[in-house]
Amino acid sequence: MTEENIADISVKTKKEEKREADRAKAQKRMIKQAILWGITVLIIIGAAAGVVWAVKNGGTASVTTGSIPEVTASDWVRGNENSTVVIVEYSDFQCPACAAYYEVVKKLMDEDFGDKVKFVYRHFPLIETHLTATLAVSASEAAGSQGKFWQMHDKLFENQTTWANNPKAREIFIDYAKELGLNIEEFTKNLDSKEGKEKAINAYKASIKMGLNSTPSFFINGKKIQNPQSYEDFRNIINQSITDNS
Amino acid sequence: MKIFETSSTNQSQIIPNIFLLGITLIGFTGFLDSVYLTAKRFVGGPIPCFVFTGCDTVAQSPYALLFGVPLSVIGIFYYLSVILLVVFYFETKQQIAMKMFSLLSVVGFLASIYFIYLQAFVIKAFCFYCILSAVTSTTLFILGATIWFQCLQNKEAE
Repeated sequence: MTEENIADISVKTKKEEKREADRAKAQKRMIKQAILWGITVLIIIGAAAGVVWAVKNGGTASVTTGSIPEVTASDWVRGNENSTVVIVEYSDFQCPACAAYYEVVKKLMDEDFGDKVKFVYRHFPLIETHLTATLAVSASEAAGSQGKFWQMHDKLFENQTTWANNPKAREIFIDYAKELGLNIEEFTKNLDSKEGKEKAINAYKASIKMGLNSTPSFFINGKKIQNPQSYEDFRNIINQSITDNS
Repeated sequence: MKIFETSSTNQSQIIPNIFLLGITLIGFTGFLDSVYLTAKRFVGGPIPCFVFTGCDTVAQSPYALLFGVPLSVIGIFYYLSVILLVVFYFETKQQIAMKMFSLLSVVGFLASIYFIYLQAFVIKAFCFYCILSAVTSTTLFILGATIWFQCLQNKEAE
């Protein structure tokens, strides 16, 4: 082997070494890149999943508040009056969430628990923000005095967007009374009476005193529950109460 | 006075990492906020009404939709794009990414002004998580504008 050849080889190896070093560098860079993007994607997906999970499961823990007043003859009751499972709802005819839960409760009581559970509706009109809620309480009570509380209750929730904050709410309620076949003279007298208004304000005060701050609020056998996130959730909670009480 | 240091080799300005981290964190806050609003809309039950603060009329209003798509979903994509652009820039140092971010932040800012207008004058109610999104997108806009003018200054210097 001549000296020239040796020099040639050493140049070649140097070139190769450089190429290899470059390759290693590129590889390192790629790994770094992959780690950076991997971490970014993981954090984003993880955080998003965490938020969705928290929203979905945020409503399962039960909350304990002070005891609620016993159910009396003056309460509006549907379902099985003798049941040991008693659901009490504090609700506001003008609250959109209450209208959404109205659908859920109606389905539960019509299809699942009509003969198994006692359901009580109590007023909690949020008079600070809902300007026609007081009159709606009067309308339901006026219909109730003619034996049609629940029919008016249904009508009020089903048509909430029509009468809420409508300056003609009073006339609309009288139309509902006509549709329900009520004695209009008596209904109008009760609708305009001081008692209806006072009932609403007293119900509001009583609910605040109990520590309630939102509608709808549900109690099962005197214990406040977090609002179920779906019809199925609500059905499961009631079924659990039935099992616990039998 | 220039905020960013000019690297000696190619005159291109390197945006400091602390700046990039700031944008990422703000973008991430906006992202989580949008995910929360979207999740509330799709998996959460009805939002209750509160005694003094009222109901979440904003998130339930028809204005919460654009061409039938919830604004919160658009928000998710907006903030996600911001995060990905910044990470891309951090990795490659390609200025186009930050220019795209700057332009995107203008769109986000204008959208926020419109949403605040809707809340104040049309719906006449505010929603905390919508305000939070307006704050994050405004901050991103300020950062985006700063970067944009830094990039332009750099071009003139070349």
